[in-house]
Amino acid sequence: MTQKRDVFTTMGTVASLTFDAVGPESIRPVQDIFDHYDATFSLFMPESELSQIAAGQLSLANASSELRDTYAAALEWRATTHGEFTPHRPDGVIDLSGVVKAIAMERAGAELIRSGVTSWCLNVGGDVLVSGVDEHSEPWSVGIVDPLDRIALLTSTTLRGSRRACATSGSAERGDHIWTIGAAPTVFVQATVLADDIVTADVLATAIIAGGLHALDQISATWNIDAMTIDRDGNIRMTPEFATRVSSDR
Amino acid sequence: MQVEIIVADGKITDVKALQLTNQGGRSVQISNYAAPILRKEVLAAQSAKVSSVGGATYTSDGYLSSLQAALDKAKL
Repeated sequence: MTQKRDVFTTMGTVASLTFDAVGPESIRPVQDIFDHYDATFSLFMPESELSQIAAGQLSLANASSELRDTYAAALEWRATTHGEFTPHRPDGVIDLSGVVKAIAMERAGAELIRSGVTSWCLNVGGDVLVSGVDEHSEPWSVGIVDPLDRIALLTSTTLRGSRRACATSGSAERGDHIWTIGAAPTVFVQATVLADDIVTADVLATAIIAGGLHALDQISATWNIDAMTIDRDGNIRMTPEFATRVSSDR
Repeated sequence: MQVEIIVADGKITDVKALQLTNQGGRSVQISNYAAPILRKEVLAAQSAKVSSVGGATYTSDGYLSSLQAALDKAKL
């Protein structure tokens, strides 16, 4: 089926949405979702609710239930990743950007499904969430950037079945908010996680970058995910299923 | 960490991570272990053939020089 592609700026980055041409004329409802999360959680907008909390003008007790629920979800992720993911900046400010983009992506996806679009691919700043198939009725393929050469692809993978989400964290671009525990240097320059939802994929990719090899082994063994990492010397690691998805593309 | 390699016809066909258990030092396979992969084994992707590009989060400025931007430009 013919598909359309729209590009829009949000959350300090760029979103690209490909979807069935029979879909709605306007993707405004999808953009509205991102704008809402940005207006509530952006620390770059002084008037956002989270900025007001950071500035001490608003207390958590008086914050909206949406903000408190999102903070609670982020704290849960901090607990389940043993602190490798954290919503707290080193200066103590609550920064929810590590979960908010992914939550907005899930909600945008739900809005697309609700409006009758069954096949779409949403890429926000390098994180990808899909539904259905591409214009050739094939599973969506996602190229993974080479962190040592950002205009080249290291490899590609397919998102099919329940694996709808692909998140990548790393130090190759500015914009990732990763605070490692202590002064330990980051082993991996890039981590890609495939999961059934983009929040899990995004949080765990961040946790692997922050926690290094131990976190990679721990997370791969514990969670229903597939992972690929690249270290500073360009060495690659993949979980078995990730390797299968790569080889099946050739 | 201990690693077990499976060799067939003189080639490594599989790498498994092993972990010592507390039951008499026996080793068990760690599930879903991320094994080292040779770079040449994965260098196969062509940007023209993918729908989307995954990578570390870029800023709006970083997007302009990204592969995703090139892909969007080609398909818009």
